[in-house]
Amino acid sequence: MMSVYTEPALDLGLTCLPTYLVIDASSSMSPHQGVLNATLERVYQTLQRSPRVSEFAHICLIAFSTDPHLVIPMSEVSQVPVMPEIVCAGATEYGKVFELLRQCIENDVTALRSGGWDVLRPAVFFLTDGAPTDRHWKARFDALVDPGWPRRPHVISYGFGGADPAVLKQVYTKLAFLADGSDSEAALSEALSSMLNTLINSSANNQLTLAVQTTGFQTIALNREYMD
Amino acid sequence: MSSGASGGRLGGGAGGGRMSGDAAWPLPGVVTLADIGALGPAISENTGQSIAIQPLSGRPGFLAKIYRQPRPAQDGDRLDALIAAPETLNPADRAIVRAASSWPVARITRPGNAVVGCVIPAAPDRFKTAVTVAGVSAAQHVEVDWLAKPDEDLRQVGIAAPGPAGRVAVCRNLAELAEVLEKLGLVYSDWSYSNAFWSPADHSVFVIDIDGCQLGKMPNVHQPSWADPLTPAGGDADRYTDRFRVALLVSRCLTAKRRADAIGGIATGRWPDQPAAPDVLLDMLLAADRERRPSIGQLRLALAGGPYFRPAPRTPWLSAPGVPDAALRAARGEGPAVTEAASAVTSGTAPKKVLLKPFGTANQPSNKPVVDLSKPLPPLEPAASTTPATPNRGAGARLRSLAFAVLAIVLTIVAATVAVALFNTLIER
Repeated sequence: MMSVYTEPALDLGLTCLPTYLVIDASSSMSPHQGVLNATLERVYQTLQRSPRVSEFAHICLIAFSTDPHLVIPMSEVSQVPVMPEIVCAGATEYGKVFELLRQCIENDVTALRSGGWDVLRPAVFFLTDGAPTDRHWKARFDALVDPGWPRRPHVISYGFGGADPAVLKQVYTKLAFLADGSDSEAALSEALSSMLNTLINSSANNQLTLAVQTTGFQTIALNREYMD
Repeated sequence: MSSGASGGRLGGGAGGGRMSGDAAWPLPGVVTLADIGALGPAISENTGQSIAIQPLSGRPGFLAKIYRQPRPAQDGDRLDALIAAPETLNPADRAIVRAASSWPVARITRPGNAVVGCVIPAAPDRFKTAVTVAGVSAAQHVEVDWLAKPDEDLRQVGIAAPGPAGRVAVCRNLAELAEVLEKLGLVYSDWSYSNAFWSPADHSVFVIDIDGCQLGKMPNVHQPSWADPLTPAGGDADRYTDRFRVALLVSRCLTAKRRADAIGGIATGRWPDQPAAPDVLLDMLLAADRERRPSIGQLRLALAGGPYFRPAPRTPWLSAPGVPDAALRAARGEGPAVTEAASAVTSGTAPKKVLLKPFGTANQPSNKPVVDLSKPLPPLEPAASTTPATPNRGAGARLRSLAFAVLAIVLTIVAATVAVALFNTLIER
């Protein structure tokens, strides 16, 4: 007496948001290095203290200057024993980091899916304080967010210090925030806090839920959106 | 003041005098922001339905939960009925809701807005513990989220590991509160990791967001890893949805497994002091007919070491993702035992979706004892109240069995001796 239903399905799989935290670690960031590391540690501590947020928001930390560096490969935060400190140095090369991001996303989404996760569209949080020193970065960014690439991420950008608004407007898909310039260190801390709140809210809603108001930042625009 | 919703057990006016843990709420059940006085810094912002949760500066132990958007007047009626509901309960159940939940004590209103928010009791300090991450220790509320992780993970951050008995105790306490909601006809719907705290010290629980409960049914909030396969995502959640989600939460906390492998853990695990618990949980999770999911009261009874009064014939089960059919057949008593290791349930590779294929049959005989519901049943409540909720109940039962056996042997010997004496007497005559 066995009958078969086609719908609905018993689905107890877990959802995860691959989250890429991309930090500008060029020499211009050196004055803010202490705040950067302290704030990264706070983000790490907060995520570690909530298993459900840690489980939902898998984290990859990439620092970039002259070259991009994969500091923490895509991991559940609970599996990351310690948050490394970043010592800033070098130029501000955007192109290579966008290329690395695309490679990472391609591999990470595959790995997460094979691990049984329901994978949401990745989210990239891009923090920069300066203008890029390379010239052909835009094409690589366009490849990263190419609407024809199914795994293209959402990109949320934060600009502070000497960040060029004209550049920042070109490196986001969801939201971009530009610090008002009054206090770069406060802005840096606020940017990471904003990211943290986004992850906590997203975990509660099981989807990317952006905090659109960030103290000390001006929201640049909301009119550029790629379809999921 | 409204008398509240109709059609269920809720009712009565929202008067003063409600308790919050150790403190009584001294104001009426409907207050204004001016009535409750100054508010402290928000302890939570922009979560769920609230824009902020702030302590009442002049009334320690109470919080103001301010809703994100104004609500219709009839929601004020619902909230008033909810606030008054504990007074309709028997003392034992009332004590449970006062100790184990943030049951609202007052509705906050203002002219033109019937429901600005509500006043709720704060979680007592025993639900906070020091959590140490990378050498940094900070006190925080411990969500049941942590119970869905192995004891070793808890020890690593400084949380006292509950062990199997502690996990059962937490789950039993959780089921006690959920059972009271069920008795009141309230639907909670949002059972998940984040809505309850537990105390590593005494294994008590504290369920939050009670103010969202509705009578009979409420919109089914879709939660991917908590989705009831038999409750449509766009439909209403009801008591049967709550039964599924409570069972899933309890299964995850008992097994320390976060995925569907928690079901495999229940099917293949050993619960000597709660022998009926796996059957109850698996029927709640896998019953092909959602209306035949056992009640939360039945789950509470089984977690206390009590029996399972299962309707006969038995309902078929749905297949469970990542759990071999052999393990489920064994759990139903319809096949040889399958150990946890042999069931090959793995957290990393478990398939996420399976077709809903009823598993087992209603007519297939089981070699497990069942109670036929066509015959009168012993009442549940007395059985619950006389069932000691201690982990070593199995040892007590074994001792009682041994005592009966010894008594039987002694009586047999006495009877034999008397018989021999009588026989000898007759022979001598």
